[in-house]
Amino acid sequence: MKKRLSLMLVTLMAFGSILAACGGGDDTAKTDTTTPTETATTDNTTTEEPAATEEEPAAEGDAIGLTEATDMSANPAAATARTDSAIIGTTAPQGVFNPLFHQTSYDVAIDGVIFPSLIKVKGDGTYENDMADKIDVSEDNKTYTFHIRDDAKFSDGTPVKASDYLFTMKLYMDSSYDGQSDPLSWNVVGASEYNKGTAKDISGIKVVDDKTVSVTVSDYDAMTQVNLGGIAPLSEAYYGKGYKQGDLTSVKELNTKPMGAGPYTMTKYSAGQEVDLTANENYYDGAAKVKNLIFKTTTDTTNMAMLQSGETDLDNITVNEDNVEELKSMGFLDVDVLKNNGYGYVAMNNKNPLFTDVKVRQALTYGLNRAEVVDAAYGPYAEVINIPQSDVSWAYTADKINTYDYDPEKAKQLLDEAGWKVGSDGIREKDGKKFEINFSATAENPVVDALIPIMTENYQELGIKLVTETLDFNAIMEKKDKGDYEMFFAAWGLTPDPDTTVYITDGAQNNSGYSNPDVDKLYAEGKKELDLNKRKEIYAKAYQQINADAPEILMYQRTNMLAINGRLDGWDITPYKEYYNSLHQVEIAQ
Amino acid sequence: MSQYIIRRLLQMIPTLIGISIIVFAISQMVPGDYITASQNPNMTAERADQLRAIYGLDKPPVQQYFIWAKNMLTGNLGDSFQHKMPVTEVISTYVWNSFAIAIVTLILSWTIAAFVGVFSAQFQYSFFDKVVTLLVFLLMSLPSFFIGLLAIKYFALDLKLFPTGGMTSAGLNASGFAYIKDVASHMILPVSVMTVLTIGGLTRYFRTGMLEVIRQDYIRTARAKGLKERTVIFKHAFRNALLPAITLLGFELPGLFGGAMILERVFAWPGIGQIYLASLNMRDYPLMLGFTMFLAVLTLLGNLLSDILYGVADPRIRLK
Repeated sequence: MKKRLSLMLVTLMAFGSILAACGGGDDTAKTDTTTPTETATTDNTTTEEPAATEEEPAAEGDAIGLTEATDMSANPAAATARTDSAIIGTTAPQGVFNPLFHQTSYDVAIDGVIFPSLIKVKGDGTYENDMADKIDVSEDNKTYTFHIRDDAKFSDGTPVKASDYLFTMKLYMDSSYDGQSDPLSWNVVGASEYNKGTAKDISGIKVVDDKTVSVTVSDYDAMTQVNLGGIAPLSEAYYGKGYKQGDLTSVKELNTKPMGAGPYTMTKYSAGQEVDLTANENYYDGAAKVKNLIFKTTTDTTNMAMLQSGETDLDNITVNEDNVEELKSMGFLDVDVLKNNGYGYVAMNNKNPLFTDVKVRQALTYGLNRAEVVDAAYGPYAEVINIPQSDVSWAYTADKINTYDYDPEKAKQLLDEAGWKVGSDGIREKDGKKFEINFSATAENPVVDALIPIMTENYQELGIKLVTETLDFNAIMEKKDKGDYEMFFAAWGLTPDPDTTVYITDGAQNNSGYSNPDVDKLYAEGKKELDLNKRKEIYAKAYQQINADAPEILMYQRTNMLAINGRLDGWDITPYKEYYNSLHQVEIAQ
Repeated sequence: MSQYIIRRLLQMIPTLIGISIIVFAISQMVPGDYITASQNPNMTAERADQLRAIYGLDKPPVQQYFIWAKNMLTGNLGDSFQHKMPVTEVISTYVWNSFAIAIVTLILSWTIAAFVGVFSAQFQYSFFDKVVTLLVFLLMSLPSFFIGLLAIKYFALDLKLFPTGGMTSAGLNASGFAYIKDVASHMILPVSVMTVLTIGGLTRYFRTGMLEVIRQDYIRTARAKGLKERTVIFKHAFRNALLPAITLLGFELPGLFGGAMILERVFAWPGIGQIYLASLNMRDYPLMLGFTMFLAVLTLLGNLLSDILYGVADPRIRLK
């Protein structure tokens, strides 16, 4: 056991960043990990006003975005020989190929080409119809009628029917459902009765005809249509054979033998090695142009080498200057550096007497040289942020946002105003208490490694002593849940929709204990409002308030990188639209 | 003999119970569970409670232990949270991939180490011995991922002799001999690196064992009666020098199935080591506990095996 433990430590040290749990959930998942591992996304769309232009604007311009392949003649023979297939390098999927149960973003990617939903995400983070060709919403916004495309067929040739949608909903509402979604929160009428087993059917879902289904909810919000339309109908004939209410075992047994209506069908799955797919002739948007698709397992130690040798056509590579340079120098790769849907932040316990005063929180933000930290951790591949939203989101605003540029004098002044006076030993004190912050740090995290020395020095200048303790991330999360912490660093992933519980009073993801009734009200309004322009205004106000309250020190929005062999064309990739969302339209250019 | 084995097997039962209690207790003391480790940002408190109820994580630890232990007795290790399939199925999916490289490595490293050890003992302090000693210590002290990466760089990327990683070529639908050939070509690099790393320690065992035996009186007698040097070394000395190593062989049993976490990662080998590590990170208790118990059983069996082998190889030791 001892040997095993030390082995583990070594492994963790060597590969700390990739081993962190990859919590992707639904396609719209957000992750909170010290080493964020959300899937990479692309940034082809024009960004809105850049967030913080003070930090090396020139470098950023070069660093982020797509760099096309320069020399296709350098393409290795191994790649050019594959005239009817493409190989995607991926971290090993877990073999949960079912949209109800999948958890890692790697399984999500494969499911993405097998199971289409009624609606799909667009490049800008809003949604459009996919398998549904029309969606009717009732006057009171409580009944949603989905019209499934007439030509939608499963890969076995049988049509996708409204009853398949109902069947899929039953699986979600089943009492033994243990996937990542929270189906009862969709408020479908009759769902909890089905969940408890008191009803055999979900009364709120009506099959109108073969291709039409209507869903009634007891309460609606902006996410209702996304939740209901985001469902990928499963074939009742295939998945329903052994299903009994209250027992999903027979459905889970088919996890490694998926059958959907998407552009590809799985032909072979070798655990930990590869997933083979072939184009589905019945796909309603026309059979995919690349006939064979293979997801091959790579690790961070082999992924660059495999791209270089032509063994893979696409892979996610860790963004850093060395890697970018090496990939670009290969010449035959399109290198796409894309904004990550997420942000890193330093959490402060707003309930701790140290941080209850907004002036103190602002001072700690002013007094930290964030640009230096971000540059040390990510170089030009991350930007300092000032609101908790991606600058490519429709909800983003730079209007009336304080950028909290590094200003130790201002920070000192704010601390003085808050009543923290410099004591005889140079440390500030108030009511006989020294200003000492206990920072819970995770080991082997590039941001924490860059942050701690700079923060210690910056805060020392302010007259604040920073004490750090190194803990396992799960241990820090446990301290967080108990409210027994002062500061830690973590990162959030962002969904395409700005609704979140991170900043509302006692919200499920509210790590900092921040509470502002105005913000609560704005988030509640934003969630209930269906008009995009009105929502924009509401969220802008919320972000302005959060920006002024400084409940946490917002640090950066980083980037991801996709390297794609230049022989593959036709992608449509944005930070919201993943590479697998456009795989069906990709062509091989020889 | 069979009585001895039966008695030893019976003795394993309390040991296993003890191990299961300790392992379970440690898992309970580790902060966080699968729900918190999966870091789903859309997780509400209600949904987390529902999930804990489905997984039985809401029950008191003592009750959880007995449910787990009872299921284990019926051969049911539970369902992996991450893989959504029975733990036994997850283990059997990956463990044979690990076994394949481990067994080849074992055979190779033991054969090579035996010969090298014997020769360097026979020619103690010779040039050959010194070079071997130097090499052995050099290889022992290199970190595995470093040699692994270096091997990929030179043999796979620069010389293009072997594939860079994985177990089969992508899209290969071969079966029979072609499949074995493909897997074998993928195995060469990881097996070589693992062999090189384990050979060091083993060589020292064989060398020391041999040196001790060579100094015995009966070896001198054998030489004195005019036997060929080869007969002396391999017939008279080698068998006796093997005795301490045989004990070691029994302990290799869990290693055969345990997987190599670091090298599996470096070579993208689909083994159980990485799966086990992920189960620790994700707090996938059924898989983590199930596999730990599996290794514990193998360790105990390995111990028993080395005792029996020792008795077989050395008639002076009577097992009662």
